[in-house]
This record gives sequence, structure tokens and C-alpha cells, in this order.
Amino acid sequence: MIDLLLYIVTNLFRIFLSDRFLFFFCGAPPIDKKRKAIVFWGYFFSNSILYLVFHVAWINLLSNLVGMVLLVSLYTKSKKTNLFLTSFIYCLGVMSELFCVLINTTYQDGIMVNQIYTVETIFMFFICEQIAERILTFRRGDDSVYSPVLLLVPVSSLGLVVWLIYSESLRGKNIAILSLCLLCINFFMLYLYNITINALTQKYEHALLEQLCGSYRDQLQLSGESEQKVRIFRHDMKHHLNELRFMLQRKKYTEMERYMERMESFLENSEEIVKSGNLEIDSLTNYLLKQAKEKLKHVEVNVQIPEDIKHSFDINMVLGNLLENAIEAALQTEEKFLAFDMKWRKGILKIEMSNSFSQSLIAKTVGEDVRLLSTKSNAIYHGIGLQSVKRIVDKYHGDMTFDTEGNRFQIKIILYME
Amino acid sequence: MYDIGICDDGQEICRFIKETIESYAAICKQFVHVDVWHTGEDLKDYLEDGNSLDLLYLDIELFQLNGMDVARYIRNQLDDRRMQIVYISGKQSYAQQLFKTQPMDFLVKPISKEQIEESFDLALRLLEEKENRFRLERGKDICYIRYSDVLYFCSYGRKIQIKTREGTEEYYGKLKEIQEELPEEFLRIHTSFIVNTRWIAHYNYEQVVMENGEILNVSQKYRSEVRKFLMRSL
Repeated sequence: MIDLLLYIVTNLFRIFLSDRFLFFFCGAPPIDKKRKAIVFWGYFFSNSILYLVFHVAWINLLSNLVGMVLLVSLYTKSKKTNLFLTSFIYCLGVMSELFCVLINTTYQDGIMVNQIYTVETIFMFFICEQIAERILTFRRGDDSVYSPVLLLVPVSSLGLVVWLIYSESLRGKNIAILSLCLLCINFFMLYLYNITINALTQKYEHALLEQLCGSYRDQLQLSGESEQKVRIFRHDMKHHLNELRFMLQRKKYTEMERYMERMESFLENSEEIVKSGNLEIDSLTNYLLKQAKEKLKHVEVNVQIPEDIKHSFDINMVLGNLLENAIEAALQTEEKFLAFDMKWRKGILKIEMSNSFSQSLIAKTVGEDVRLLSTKSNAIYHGIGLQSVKRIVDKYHGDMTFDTEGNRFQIKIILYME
Repeated sequence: MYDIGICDDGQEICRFIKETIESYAAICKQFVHVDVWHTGEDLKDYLEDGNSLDLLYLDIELFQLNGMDVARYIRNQLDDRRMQIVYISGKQSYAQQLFKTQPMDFLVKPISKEQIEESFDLALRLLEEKENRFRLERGKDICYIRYSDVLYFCSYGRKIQIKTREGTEEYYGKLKEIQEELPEEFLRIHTSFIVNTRWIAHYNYEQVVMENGEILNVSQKYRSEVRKFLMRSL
């Protein structure tokens, strides 16, 4: 009975871990959850049943590989990638088994060997998968929030099982029960970890949304002020024209000039820096750029986008993150320079931001990516911020490049946007 | 010799732009001829008579026939894609349709000398490209096609089809052979297509829409190339 339970749980965990790795490697699969659930559970049930009924090595192998290929095909259409991923996951599994065989050479209790051994394999598989995820994160230059604690749990679980077997303090069935419990702990902990990360991301997005609302409020006020001024002006237009005509007849040209300058400065609302016509984008950029103009020495802005551009929420996510980072970095320099350029042409939105930056912002080059360690204290928020930007760049099939020339840091983003 | 036009109902701003361009052109050793109009109708009459411009500074907020209508007339009725249009405007808020006229840039009043000089430089660079030609050998005949007239090169069996504004030319050849000699505005988007990006009206991740309405697919292999090109050139 306990064997069966152990087998089912380990098999489920194995397929779950493979799926998690695929999700990590390929991103979210482009099909709905139902279909994915069908394939996932289908794989699990068919694989388990075939194993339990037949116990034949080659049937096992076949059902594993076929199931895996099907699962991977959900994530990627490319046959080459499919082959690579399936082989990779299979190899991880084989390596885990080999490792466990090596450390179990002295254990002789025949009946329980299979299942305990499978449990150890799973812990090892978990460890391998975590290491693979970590390597990938590092290579991508991802600013992800990754806690080393996650790796400790399967390592200590594996260690515990192996030590118990070696020290022979627990026998057969008890070890099996213990392993089962450890497996469940591992599984739930992983689940909990995911929930925490999601909660953190949501909290961050919530904070951003609050900021956005605050900026809307400011913007509406600004627009209201501008509109009010225009209304007053239009009302007084006749009067102003008369005044000017009067001065013209008297050839009082310098007075005219001064009068017109006063009219101009009355109309101008210098707090409104960006007036693209998009309420959402104007709100957020004016809110942040106003702060920038107060705190920094030199701010350049150029925005050329249609007044009814779509997806302004996503654009704002990107702009909000980039502007905040740029302003903060520029603040820590002598030069305090910020340039912000956004153009929409032929279905492509281009966002370019450059700022002066100082040595306290360490830049490490990893392959072709530039990895930044910011001086910002809440590094987790910062990491999630850049992740949001990456997510949006991927969503619009876009691209992002960094450039550090001299003491200028430049980010360039293009997005395919209607 | 470049024909430059300025259309704005404000006399002073026309004078300012004209003077800036004439003095800057002299510094750059370029020959220019600058014309000024104060209404959209006058400009349209001039163009209807068969005259053309290389670069036009166009006020969006003209009094009657507004800037956008003039630009649409230029692109659609006159079918002139070569003219570089720079919109000048009192505001920063632009309608979606304005972008469809493929302007080179937007300048917001008050305009500085530097802005005019920069736009002049860019326009000249884009215009100069138009003069280069593609050499086409067909048996004993040799003919030349201006690159600016070519929409795309398409490989079809052992032949290459050259789609131009007028029609299609064919000859025996391989895309691989000509790819190197093509100027930088030509981009490979598919094993069988090399496209002149100046003729692209709209970019999607999976396809591009040409100015003449044709939709060409961007094959998976070349998508990141296209993206890199956009990153460089925009």
C-alpha cells in the first residue's frame, strides 16, 4: 500500500517539476489551462498505469518519452527545441538516478529499495532542476528574486533520508512513511514559494497603480487649470486685440511686445511637459517628469505618439519603471542629466531613455547582456520592476538594449504596437 | 539642387525657417531653392501644376485646407512618397491619421535653429539614397532601376522578381548574390523576400504591410533580424 502511494506521489512530483522547468525555460504556453491540464494529467495517469500494470523497462521508457514530448510540444512548436528539452529533462532524471545509486551502495533491504530510492531520485531531480533554473536566471541577466533557501529544502530532505538509511535507525516501512512526508513538505513549500512571489508582484503592481491614480488626479487638475486659462483668454480676446490695436496705432511697439509676452506666459502652463493627448500617458509622465525637473539639472523630453495610442497601461508600466530608475540614478551624479524620447512610427513604438550615472551603479557584462546592481535599497521591488518591463517587452514581441558609454546609461526599447 | 517648401500661415515663422535653411545650406555647400506659401490651397495649386518638392515644412493648423489634408493629397493623389514632410505645430498632440502620411519628424513651436538644421541633415541623407540605382542584366540588355522605386526583390524559382511602382521586372539570379550590394534600407524578411524598408507602411511581428497595400510575411528565421534593424534605424 505504502509503495503505491509513494510511487504515485513521486511520479506526480516528477512530472510537476518537469512542467515547472518547462514553464521557466519557455515562458507561459500559448494554450488555455484546460488543454494543458488534460495533457498533464493524461501523461501522469497513462504513465503511472502503464508502469503499475506492466513493470517493463522499455514500456516505461516509451511512455515517459512520448508523454514528455507531448508536454513539451505544448510549450514550443519547434521540433529542435522539443527534442532538446525532452532529452535534457530525461538526462536530468537519469543523472539523479545514477547519483542515488552511487550513494546507496551499502543498503540491502530489498523490498523497500525501489520506492525509497525513487524518493531520493526525486529529491535529486528537484535539486538539479533548481540548479538549472538558477543557471538560466544568471545567464539571462535576470534581476529575479531568488532565495537560496529554496534549494536547501530538497538538499536537507535528501540528506536526511540517506543518513537515516545509512545509520539504520529506521527500518523499511518507517523510512517509506518519512520519505512520503518529506516529499509532501517539499511540494507544498514550492507551492508556497510561488504564491509568495505572486503576492509580491501583485503588491508591487498595486503600488504602481496607486501612483498612477495619484498622477491622474494631478493631471486632471493641470488640464483643468489649462482649460480654465484658455476659457478666460478667449473671453478676453476681443479686449486684448483692442489693446494691441490701440498700441499699434500709437506705434508703441515695445509696449506691444511686452503685452504679448504677458499674454503668452498667461497661456503657458509650464508644468505640463508632455501633451500627447493620451490622458494616461500624459498623467504619468508629467507626474514623474515634474519631479525630475525639480530634482535634476538637465531634462530633455521629446514625445511623438498618436493621441489615441492603444495599450497605454502597458506603456505606462514601462515608462514608470524606466523613468523612476533613470531619475534615481541621475540624482546620484554631479551632472544630473535625463533624456526621454518616445516615438511611434509604422506600428513600432520606440522608447529611448538616457541618464547620467555614477560608479556606485555597478555594471557587470555577462555575455552580451548588461546586468545591473542598483543602489536602490528595496532591491526586491527593483527586481520585480525590471521583470515587469521585460514581461511587457516580450508581450509585444519587442526588444530591449542597454548601452553604457562614458558616464551615460542608455536604454532603448522597441515594441510592436498597433 | 534641392527644392524646399515651407507652408505656414505665419509670415514670421516662414521667414525664420527660410533664412535658417538658406544659411545652413550654404555652410553645408548644398544648393537649395526655398519656396514659401501661406495657405494649403496655394501649395496644392503649385503641386497640381506638376511641380515637386524634396522637403516640405508643413503647418498642421492651417486655416482652411489644413496640413493633414495637404499631406494626404501629396501621398495619395500625387502618389509622392519621396517628399520628406516635417510637420510644424503649436501643440504636441497628434491625430492617428497624421502618422499615416509617413512624416519624417514633428517640430513643436517655438522651433529652434538647431531643430531645423537637424531635420535638414536627416532629409538630405534620406533623399540622397534615392539616387542610387540597381543594375539589371538580362541576357545582352542592361537596364537600371532606381532603388527608391523598388518595393521588394522576390525570388521565384530560379528568377528574381523586382516589384517596382510601375510593375514587375524579372531576371535570372539568386537573392544571395544581390543581398550584399543592396543599400542598407533593404532588409531580408524571408528566404524569398528582400524588402525596401522605405516602402513599408506598417510593421507587425509576423508581417509587414507595404505602402501599396501588399502584405508580406516575415518568416520566423528573420524576425529577430527585422527587430535588430528597427532598433538600429528608428
